[in-house]
Amino acid sequence: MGALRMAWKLQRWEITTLALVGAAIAVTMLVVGWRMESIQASAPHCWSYVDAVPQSVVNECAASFEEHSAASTIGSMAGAGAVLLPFVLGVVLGAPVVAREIESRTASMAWSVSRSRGRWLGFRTLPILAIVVFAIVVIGLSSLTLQRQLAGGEVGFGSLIPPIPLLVARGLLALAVGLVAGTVLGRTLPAVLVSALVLIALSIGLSLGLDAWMAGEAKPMDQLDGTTSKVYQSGLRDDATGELINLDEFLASEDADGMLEIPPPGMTMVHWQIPGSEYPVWMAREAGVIGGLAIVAGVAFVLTALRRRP
Amino acid sequence: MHARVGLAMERGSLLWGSVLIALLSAGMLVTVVGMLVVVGDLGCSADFIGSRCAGLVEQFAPWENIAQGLTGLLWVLPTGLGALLGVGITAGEIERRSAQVSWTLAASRTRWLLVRAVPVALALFLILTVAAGFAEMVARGRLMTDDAGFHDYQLRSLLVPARGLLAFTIGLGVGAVIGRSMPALLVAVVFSAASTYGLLVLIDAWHLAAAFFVRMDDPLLNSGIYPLVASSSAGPGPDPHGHLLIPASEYWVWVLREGGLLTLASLGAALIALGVVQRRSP
Repeated sequence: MGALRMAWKLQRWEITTLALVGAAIAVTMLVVGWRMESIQASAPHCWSYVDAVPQSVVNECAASFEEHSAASTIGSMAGAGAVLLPFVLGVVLGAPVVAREIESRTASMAWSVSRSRGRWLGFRTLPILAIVVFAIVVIGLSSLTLQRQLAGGEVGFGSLIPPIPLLVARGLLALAVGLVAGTVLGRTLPAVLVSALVLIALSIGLSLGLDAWMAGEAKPMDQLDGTTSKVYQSGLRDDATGELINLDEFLASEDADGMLEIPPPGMTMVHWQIPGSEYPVWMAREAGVIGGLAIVAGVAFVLTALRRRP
Repeated sequence: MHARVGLAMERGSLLWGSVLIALLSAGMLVTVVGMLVVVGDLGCSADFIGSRCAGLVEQFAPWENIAQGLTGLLWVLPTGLGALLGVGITAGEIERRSAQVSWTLAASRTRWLLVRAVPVALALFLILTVAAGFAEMVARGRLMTDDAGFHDYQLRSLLVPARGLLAFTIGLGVGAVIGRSMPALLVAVVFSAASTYGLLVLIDAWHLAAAFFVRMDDPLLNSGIYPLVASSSAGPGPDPHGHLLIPASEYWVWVLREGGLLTLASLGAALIALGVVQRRSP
């Protein structure tokens, strides 16, 4: 409790600002999610079509569709805020923990007065860790209804807001990177910049790596798995031989010249995809990879902080 | 001499900000080269019509995705970097408790702020202009044209450094009010993002008022140069018969108008910052 009070005293401005921003995002997501659900509930016949909506229904339900779309625009913005918030929380609360102490030249005093530097680090970082995890879980829980609505009913690879474990893993990685950058540089604002740089680079690298991993695991299937799957490429299967041909290669070949119908007779359209049912598995894998990186960065922070001169 | 002092005080943030922009620019350059290698000299257009070009869609798509992600960062980087540098000057000085000395020693607080802020503002403008230049290359590479018209123009024109300067001046003011770097940075980012969004809404309304209706079969829509399609969230939705357009030939007029609005807002924020610095106790 004492550690939490200390964290509050030292970072009350940051915590207050982030709490206000986080609360605004959470409340917006809750209200918009509930509003979108109630729009659908008030006119269920407008929302009972999976594919093509008849023109008569389009005309009759124009107001309902328009209202839902306007709410969806606001919800998407709040959702984007929820996706960014774990990174902001981690960096803004993590970078100053050691950097500010060094910058204001109080580190030598604080570290020598404390029983051990490890104890000081634990006392200062664990409450921040708890605050970050708590805030992200609250944001994640507030997003559940909106997440379902924005995804069109079923959450899948096209979802804007990822599941809570992935949000938490991202927040922990950002916190650990912020702590390391703050300890190494010893200046708060440059540490924020370096953390942003490292996180952007890591996000791009992870995104490319995971995409390559998923592309390798994608299987050719006859039907598109609704809107929840992740489709990598389309192709054709020769019904007689079972041979698979990439659609782009087929279109570029001489066989496609003058062809009016795709797929041509004797061939079936196939799509290389990861089905939506595997979404939780892939999200768990991503969270695992990011969590692993957060642990590595956390260990790097402890080692750096234990050796650094105040 | 004065410029050197201003730059030296913010060297850490400027250095890392420059590294960030340099890496982003390098990434964009690699992406452009990747797209050029895929397309080669086949003379494809952005819609990949023709059998030889159609076969390249899949190889081109990953590069295009990366290009989109990298240029998309230019929505947030100018605001973040501008606010960070602005806050560092005023809040940094107050937080370090060196404002008492430096404000007393300076001929006037106005002079102190000018000496500290102008060189950093120029450096910020320069590095963001470089990033916008690389984004221009990316847009041309993605669309395979020498004139990308209005396509993503807010991410690749002088509007990128102009947004950075707006955030910078807001950062100066907020930093002077709050006097602590990190909270001021957060508040400045929120204010800058809100101001930029407000200006975008205003500009969208201006676009809508200035645009004229063009039918689907009009050559202007199929010229290969990207006009600005004006739209309003409050409007009746897309018209199947045509669009409200501003032709690509008016590109510079609109860039200068929007840049002018952003510059005016920056000047207003700078004056407010100056007023706060004049009155604040160090």
